[in-house]
Amino acid sequence: MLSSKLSSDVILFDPSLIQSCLRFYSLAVNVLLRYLNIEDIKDLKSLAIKNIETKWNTLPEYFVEDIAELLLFYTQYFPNALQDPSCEDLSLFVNIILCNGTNLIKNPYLVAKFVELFFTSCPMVQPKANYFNNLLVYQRFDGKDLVSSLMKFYSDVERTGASSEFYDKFQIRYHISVIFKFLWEIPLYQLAFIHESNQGKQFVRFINMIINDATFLLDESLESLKRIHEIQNLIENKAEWSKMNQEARSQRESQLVQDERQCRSYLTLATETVEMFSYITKHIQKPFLIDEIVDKLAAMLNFNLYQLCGPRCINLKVKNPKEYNFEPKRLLDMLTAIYLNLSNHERFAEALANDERSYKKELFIDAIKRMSNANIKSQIEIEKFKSLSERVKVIVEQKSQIDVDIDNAPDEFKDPLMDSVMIDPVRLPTSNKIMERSIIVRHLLNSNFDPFNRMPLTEDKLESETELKKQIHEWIRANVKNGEMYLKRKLKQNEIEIEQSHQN
Amino acid sequence: MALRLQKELANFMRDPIPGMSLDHNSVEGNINVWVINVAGASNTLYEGETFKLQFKFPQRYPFDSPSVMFIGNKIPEHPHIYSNGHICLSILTDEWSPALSVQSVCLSIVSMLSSCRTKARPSDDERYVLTCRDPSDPKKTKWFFHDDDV
Repeated sequence: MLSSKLSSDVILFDPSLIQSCLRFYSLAVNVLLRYLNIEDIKDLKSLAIKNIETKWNTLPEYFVEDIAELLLFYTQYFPNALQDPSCEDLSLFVNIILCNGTNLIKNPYLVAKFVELFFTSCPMVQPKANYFNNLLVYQRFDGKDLVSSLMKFYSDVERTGASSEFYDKFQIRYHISVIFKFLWEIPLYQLAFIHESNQGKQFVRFINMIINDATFLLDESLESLKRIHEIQNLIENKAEWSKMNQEARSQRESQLVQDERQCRSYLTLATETVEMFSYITKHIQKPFLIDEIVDKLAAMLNFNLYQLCGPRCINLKVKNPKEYNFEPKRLLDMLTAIYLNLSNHERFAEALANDERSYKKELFIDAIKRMSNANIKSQIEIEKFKSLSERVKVIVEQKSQIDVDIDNAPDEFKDPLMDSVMIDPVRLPTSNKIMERSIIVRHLLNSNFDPFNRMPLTEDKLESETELKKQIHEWIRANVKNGEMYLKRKLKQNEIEIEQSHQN
Repeated sequence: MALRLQKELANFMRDPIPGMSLDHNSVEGNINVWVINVAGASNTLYEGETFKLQFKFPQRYPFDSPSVMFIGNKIPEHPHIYSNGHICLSILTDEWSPALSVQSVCLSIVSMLSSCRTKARPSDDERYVLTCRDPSDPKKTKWFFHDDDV
């Protein structure tokens, strides 16, 4: 076994073989680039390619895949090989693929291979590949194309078309987030991030994905930590444990193994995602404060803060947290860093106050206590957090005054499902009930029936109740303090909710 | 969601269902989990017995159905109730509608108990209890509804 491995090593790592492989592929790259109408690499102005010719699309995938495989193999097992001069062209080719992503190569898994290659060459993964990594990073371009394309790819892998897409995306995103962490430290690329954040939609889409992932991953991993905690306690309790029969015990044990595995991989990804959040918000804040994002973000932050600091956090105490990459202090540090980074913005405080699920003033008090006990934040930062929590408290009080006013509305102004005052009432044609538009649209998203009589119903069948709408708006203006402002905000919120329902 | 649950709580206290009462400690601090004490109705097989019924409301409630199960060491012996507390009731999963409420679910469960003629466990009780996806959440089970007589 060992001898056969060693003999294959001798052959595979033979310098002259390596050299000829690399030369061959660097020539191949030059040929491939002709298909993209790039005659001479040295003349290239920008890595983003505008017009892709059909002749490029006719090439078989393995022409490109081979290159990725070879380079991936060398970065992993023999990084010294990548100091050959021919690597310059090869690294440029890798960059071209990364900068164009799925525009250039339809198969996302093939692009993902190049992403993995870049990931593997990062100093925190394979420090010895530093020469090749430098080639990739410091090629005379300003980095904007790379950052923009990777961000787009990060969002795009949400749907890869494969049946395993749900799990694949996390692997790919993990690679991208490690790359981002590395690039963020390089001033040139940090500028590229900031530039990208001012470009609008795509960046918003990107942070929306990070919020979704962070929500899902943290939720799942903390849940599995709780189950691990439970089973560990059960096993500890010898009397209880021996009372259970063999079958029940082995079922619990296999559950434990499964939870441990899930927890380990999800937590690693979750930590990486939250970390990405904390450093990006340090320099980029505006896109996080738009209506579509900020409330969702605040809800995610509060919920996880509650998990880590709330009264139930004791359930997360497992025997060997390190083994699952569970570092509660570090996680808390990064989460609270996001709060602090955004704390100067009034809209953020408002969003924290809007969160009805997890926000309580005690939560912030607990968090402050924990931050100072764990010694993760400076006194100044703790003071800043305190002032944020005060501001949120004030907003919540104002809001509850509005809630009291609005709650006095007559019953026919209220939505029968959610009991909130309707802003845009619609009539359901078969049951003749009146509901808030955004609420029924949300229901119809998953089911196509009238909730009151199970008759078929679709969105286009809803009838606007203009007269009632006018009455409600007038009532709000007359009876609620700051009613006009409240109406405006609600209308905007409804609009976003409906739009998001449609996107899903 | 908070508004809706508060309203349901108020309704539940105002028009309680005979034999059912809310365990007030359960909702204190967290309105998303309710425990309801159920007393077996007179002239039924469960007369004199008491049970605990738990409601857990998901974040998307009422668009998603609540998780409802019996908890504690006394689980009613009924052909549609498994010994781990899970209840086989179509409105809790497939036939859930957001227009249903805690009260309507409770009514269904009361009538399910009251119409029972013989005390028995479901025929696949032992297998199900060992193999169900998640003992603490019946909603993870893919339910298959057999008959509607009881």
